[in-house]
Amino acid sequence: MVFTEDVFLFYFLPFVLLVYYLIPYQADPAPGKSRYWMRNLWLTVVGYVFYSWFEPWFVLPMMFTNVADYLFGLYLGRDDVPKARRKLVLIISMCMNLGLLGIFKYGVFTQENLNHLLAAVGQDTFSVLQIAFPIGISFYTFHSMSYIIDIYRGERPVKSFADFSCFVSLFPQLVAGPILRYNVLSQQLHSRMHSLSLFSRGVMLFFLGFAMKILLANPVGRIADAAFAAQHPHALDAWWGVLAYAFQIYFDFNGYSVMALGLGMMFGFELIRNFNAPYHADSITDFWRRWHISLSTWLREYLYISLGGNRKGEARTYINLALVMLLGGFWHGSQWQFIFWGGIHGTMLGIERWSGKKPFYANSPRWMRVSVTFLVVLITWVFFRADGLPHAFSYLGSMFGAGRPGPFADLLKAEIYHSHDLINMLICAIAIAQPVQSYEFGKQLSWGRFAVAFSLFLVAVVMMYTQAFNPFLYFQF
Amino acid sequence: MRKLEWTLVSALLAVTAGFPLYQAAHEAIVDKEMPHVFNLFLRSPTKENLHRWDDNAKDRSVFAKWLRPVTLQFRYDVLGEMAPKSLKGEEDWLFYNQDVDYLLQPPYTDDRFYKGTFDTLIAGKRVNVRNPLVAMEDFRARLKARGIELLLVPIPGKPSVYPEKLYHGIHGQPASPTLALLEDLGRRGFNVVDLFSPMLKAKAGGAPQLYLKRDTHWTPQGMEVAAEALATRIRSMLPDADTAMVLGPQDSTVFTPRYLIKDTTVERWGDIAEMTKVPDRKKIWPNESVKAERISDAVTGLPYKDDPASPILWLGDSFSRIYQTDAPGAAGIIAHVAYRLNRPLASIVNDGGASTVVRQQLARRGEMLEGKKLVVWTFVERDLRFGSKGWQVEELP
Repeated sequence: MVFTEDVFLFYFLPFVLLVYYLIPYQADPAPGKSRYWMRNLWLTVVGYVFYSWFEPWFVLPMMFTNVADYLFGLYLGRDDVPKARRKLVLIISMCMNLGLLGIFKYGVFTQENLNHLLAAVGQDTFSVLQIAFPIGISFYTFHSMSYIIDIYRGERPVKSFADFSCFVSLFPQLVAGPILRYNVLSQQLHSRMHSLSLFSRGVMLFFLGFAMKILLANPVGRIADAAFAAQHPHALDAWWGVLAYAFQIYFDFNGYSVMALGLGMMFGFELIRNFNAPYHADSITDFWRRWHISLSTWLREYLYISLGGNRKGEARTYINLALVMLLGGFWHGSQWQFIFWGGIHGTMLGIERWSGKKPFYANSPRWMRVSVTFLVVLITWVFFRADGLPHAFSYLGSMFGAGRPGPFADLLKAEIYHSHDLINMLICAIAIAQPVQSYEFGKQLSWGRFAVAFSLFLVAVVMMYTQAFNPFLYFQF
Repeated sequence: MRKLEWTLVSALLAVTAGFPLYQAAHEAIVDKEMPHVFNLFLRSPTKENLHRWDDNAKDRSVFAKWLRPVTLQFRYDVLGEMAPKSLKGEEDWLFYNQDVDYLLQPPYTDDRFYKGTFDTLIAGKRVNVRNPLVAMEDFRARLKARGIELLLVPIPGKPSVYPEKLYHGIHGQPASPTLALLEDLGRRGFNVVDLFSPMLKAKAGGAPQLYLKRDTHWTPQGMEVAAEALATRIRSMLPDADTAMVLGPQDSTVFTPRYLIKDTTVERWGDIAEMTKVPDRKKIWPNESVKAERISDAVTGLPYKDDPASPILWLGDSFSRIYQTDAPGAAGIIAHVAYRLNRPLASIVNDGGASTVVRQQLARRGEMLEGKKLVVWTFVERDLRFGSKGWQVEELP
């Protein structure tokens, strides 16, 4: 199910909210049980329903992860388990989680690359076994892993299976984040505030996120799709296409994250903010503090620090940084282009760290720093959007005028420069350049802001009926 | 502040809960049916059932029925925006998005052509059924085993012939990627007909408009250019056929014409205009009036009719249907090729299904192959990329 389709908006959401608020909570719960265990159980059930809407069998690996990590967590939480055994359980859990991720997400990639290797040494290749990819597996696997690592590091495990399942399968963040760390949400699973103030701010954020996806991301996504699908576009058209993609991915993913935050608030959860004006960043280091914050935080806490962070000398710090970014890239998709994308960002971060966490253009005016950073990010988006590494290089070639445009390349202009395309791009550019971010806009309520957000939401609902099915970009990860 | 907070919550609930309640009430009271929402619980929750329920909910939505046309008209009036399948060109010309995408996107020789597809194991060989060459090679071999020749005829899409009507700034007359395919097929020993050269030659020579302005298909004039080229090629492939066929209708000394030709006028509305989904489309774009020539039997005066016993079997798509079974009837390419060959053809025509569906239909009607000497397989060039069901390998009976 997708937040921006009518089955979610008109059936799932009101029904889930109605039942949720009809379920009583226990003012004085038994020890080890949360006040909201029944509500958490309801959220777990509807989380599974939400997830199974894509494909019913997708719930099976998630259920398996849920049960296994709940049991591992209980065991790790016992005081009488020797240190060596705790480590063994941690390793088993990590292997299980990463193994599932490896099979479902990287199975085909591994087989294909093995085939390339076999072909390179003159051996017979084999038929690649096609494995269906359960949407959002990377997200809930990371949720589950964070739980086990936090318990291993000393957090208390949850006693109630409903609470744990609720953490993993909480539908607002289930398929595209924000990636939750258990230590952030553990307290809220037990006791959280349900207030009109929080709920209404959640509604405000939901309105804004919904409008972002339908009114901004989807229309410019069509431009990006056309430009990237073309064989050899003209340089200007290629730049226009990647600019459209930069807008699309931001409004698509940020729209989803803002909706997730809003929905979380409606159920009393305060999830973490995922974006903070990333295209206002004045260095790549700054960009990663603002883009997909929940992923960078997760990677820093559970991977970078586990690898030793910056505590093991300068050389090791750079290696750790590169590794984290490469794996971060690989997390996004089982294709070489994502590894390449991660590698470029890792290299940029390394260079900036080497020069005191500053870019080489640090002494230029802020507008120039922001522009250069945006340009670098824009170029790296090519790797993110292209259909494979060769296409990424060919597209970059088109952007920089290498090679001849295709014979019919001029026709692309008829697809991507309509008056409505220009208007949509201009609106996106203004929305990005202006200083007020949706998160802040939604946090402080006023009648004027309500009028803006509700109008946008209504227009978006109307537009939703004229758009083709358009799932969120991050579902594929 | 509390008032504002309540207003926000009420606004959300008014939209999200108000809609399904109104919908259910409408279905129960006006349509006198069980509200669709209950259907969700009547079937097992398989992916198909869930998605079917979802689609039905969208189709039955009272709000969607009301909002969709209003929004589409508004978007066209204010922004000139149309549904994504259609593109606005110059001088009121409309283009089909897939026709343009075919020219812009990588051809079958590029890895990206196969993105998101899987290989299939056929007779111990890994093949990709999106690759048209696989199906063409296979079909040719199966026909050859029955002593039947195959003639491949890709039909130019409208933007290949009139790119300047889509974008005025285009330089020269670019070559369609289909020409590379024709060369490739030629190297592989296939019999092919190049319709691009005669079409472009006719256009350059000042011929009347060869394609309809707001339709994906050709005008009768464009169709006749193709019919002439095809008839010439077919004659060269079947030299041992009967005299009338070899000589053709031009040689009046020994020729007994089997068919007569009669001028008529056709009104075409345009399938791309329909695709725009703009509610006022009938008012915005008028019908196009074109001159056509109907073919009728010289003896009976009845319109041209196929003969299943003909040695020539024609496989085609809507380019073979237009003017033939559509108005005015018996004025399409099949009738015109038959007229030029002075003999009827047998045909299987399926709209949008020339890549695979026509061969599936042929497989079900094996008797159609009896006594055949030649199969003419026509398909619009965009089907090389977007053909319905890809280019599957099909058994013949």
